[in-house]
Amino acid sequence: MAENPPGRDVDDEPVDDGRLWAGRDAEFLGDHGQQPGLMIDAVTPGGEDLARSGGPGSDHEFAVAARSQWQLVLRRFRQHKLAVISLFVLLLVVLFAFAGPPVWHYQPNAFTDDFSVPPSLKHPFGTDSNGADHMAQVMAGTQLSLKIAFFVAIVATAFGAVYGAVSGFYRGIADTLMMRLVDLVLTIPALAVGALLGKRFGNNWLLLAVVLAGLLWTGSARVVRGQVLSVREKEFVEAARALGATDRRIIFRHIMPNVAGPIIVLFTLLVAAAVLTETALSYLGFGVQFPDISLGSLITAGETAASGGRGWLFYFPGLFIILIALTVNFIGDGLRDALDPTQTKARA
Amino acid sequence: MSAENPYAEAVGAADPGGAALSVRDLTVTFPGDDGQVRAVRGVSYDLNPGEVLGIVGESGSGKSVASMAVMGLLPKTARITGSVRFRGRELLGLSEKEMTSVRGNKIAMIFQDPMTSLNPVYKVGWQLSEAVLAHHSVSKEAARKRALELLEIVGIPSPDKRIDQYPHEFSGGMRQRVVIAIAMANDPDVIIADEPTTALDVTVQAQVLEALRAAQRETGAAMVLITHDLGVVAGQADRVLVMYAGKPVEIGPIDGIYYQPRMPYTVGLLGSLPRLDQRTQDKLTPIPGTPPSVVNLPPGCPFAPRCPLRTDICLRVEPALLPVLGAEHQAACHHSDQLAHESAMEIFSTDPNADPGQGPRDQNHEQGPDQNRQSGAAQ
Repeated sequence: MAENPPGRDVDDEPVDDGRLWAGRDAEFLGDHGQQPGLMIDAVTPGGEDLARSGGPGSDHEFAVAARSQWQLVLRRFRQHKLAVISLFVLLLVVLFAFAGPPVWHYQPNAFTDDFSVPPSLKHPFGTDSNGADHMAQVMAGTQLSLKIAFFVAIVATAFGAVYGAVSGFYRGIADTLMMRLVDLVLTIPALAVGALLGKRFGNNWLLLAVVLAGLLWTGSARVVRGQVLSVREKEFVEAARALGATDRRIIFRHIMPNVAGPIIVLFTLLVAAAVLTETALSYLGFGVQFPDISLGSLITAGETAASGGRGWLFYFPGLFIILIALTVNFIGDGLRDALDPTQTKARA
Repeated sequence: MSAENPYAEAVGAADPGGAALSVRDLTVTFPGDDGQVRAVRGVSYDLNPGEVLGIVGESGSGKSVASMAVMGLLPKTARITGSVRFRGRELLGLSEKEMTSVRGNKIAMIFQDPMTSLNPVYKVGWQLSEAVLAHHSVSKEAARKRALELLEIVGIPSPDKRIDQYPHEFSGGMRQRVVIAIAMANDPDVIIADEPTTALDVTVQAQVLEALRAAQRETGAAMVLITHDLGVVAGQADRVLVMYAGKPVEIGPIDGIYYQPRMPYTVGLLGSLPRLDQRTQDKLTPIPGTPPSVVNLPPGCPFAPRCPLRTDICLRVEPALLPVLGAEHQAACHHSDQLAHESAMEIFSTDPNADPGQGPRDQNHEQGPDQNRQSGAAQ
């Protein structure tokens, strides 16, 4: 209290005894016994705080629990149960794909004496007709599919965002030309080009990822351009220019962070799109090829096996494709709600 | 300019008596669908070091556009002619890169709406540091220390806590004080404040004006204060420039303008303000009519259609800005002598039945009925 003399205007800092500030790092007022699902946005009446501190702290009308932007976002994300569960499941899948192979005692392309064994304790996902452990294969396949998906999503989102931001910032003829190029790219059938290049360059997952990124960046370019068109008219952009900021600084440091929300959501959606496109290409035989394993190539191999009564070779990789695509989409959904400041309703 | 302040750059002692900012015949024209929009039609003024020049005028009188032109912030479609000299250096025609080194460093700007002129995704401290770092290569710590110092100067309570907060955690008045702090970050020689109090509650205006005064005291900068609030100008400015339809119609020392206005428009502006030193029974005197469109202005004085003193010459010849009371006080009116002893009440109420909207050369036919209503309400 000592540093807060009474009689200042309401503009001033709410008086606090250090509790609120300490509370910023604490679990969102959770230590006040609040229901975690209760939606409390920026302003929290300081009732509970006063009730506890009482005494000298009660000479102010209300206290505002200061929370940073990201704390609010995290808080809203946690309202979205499905997204939280999805994040958990996706982390398990990632753990399975990356921490699994070193731990698991079978190699994906090593043969055992168990030919076409259905799932058992020894081989939880069964084996194929060569006796290779299917769980080791699914681990390897998931790993490569995830690697491709995240590579594609990062590259495509980053490029698309920068492209869209530049286009939207400069407007005029540059914008028109850049957006027509986007239209052109959009008309290219991703599967056909992927198939062609995949066949040509063969067994190189990085190249496949680059090709996919080159085809999938257009969506983020369009969305980011639209956002930048609106943000560039805000007065703080003018203010930044009046401050002597260069165009590059304005685009990357002042405008881009303001469109971070849509970019993050686009990223998650691209992860799902990339997994599915890669799977489709690999299924058609143009993507990842032996000895590399992806979920798509596993499905191709397992397709005939499934009709022959060995369904585990088809359903396990299929399950992982669905898990990745679904969880990533739900996470994107949750992030979109969390990052949208106009979103006020609590989610079940 | 405090000598111990490391952010104050040694300013050229080249012309100590010279103006900090010298604007000559500045015109700004925008291409429009109905023809050229002549938003600014020849503005000239000198801003002496440490001086506050108030620019007043109605919306659309070109006061903001004129200062945006000084900052080089107008869109590329704007055609700008004339001369803007900062300490003798011509600013018009500078490349974008050269202009960038002037903006924020030598000439800073304060915008109207503090709700939107701060970046919502950055902490206040970051934005202040950004201002410092844009023109000085100092360490992040030094920039932050400077930011704290700036917040202190503009009167933000407990700046050490506030510096790590986001703009949405600040009230409007506090945000505007932050904007002022950003403007003074690099110790500019000229601060242009574009309606700094317009978007704020009347109750916090005083605080913001105090912050402006503190900023000026600290930096020793000259200031252009753009506003349509004559009360704000009266308390802050040393000199006043009154603009109408893109042109200065009267310029002079604050006392001269307020006590001896020599242009009917200024008289009307002052007459439309409530005054504490007059009998309260008096009604306020409005100026009938609306400002003219700056597209295809008719010849003559642009204020003539609304002016009770207009004669034939007013409709034919646009008056030049001429000295009226000493060289400092200039007015653009053919009848400025006549105004020496008349008040707004007397001038604008001389002929209650006069319909200023239907002057012989009036171009705004469609506005006739509206103006009738307004002048009717005035009586």
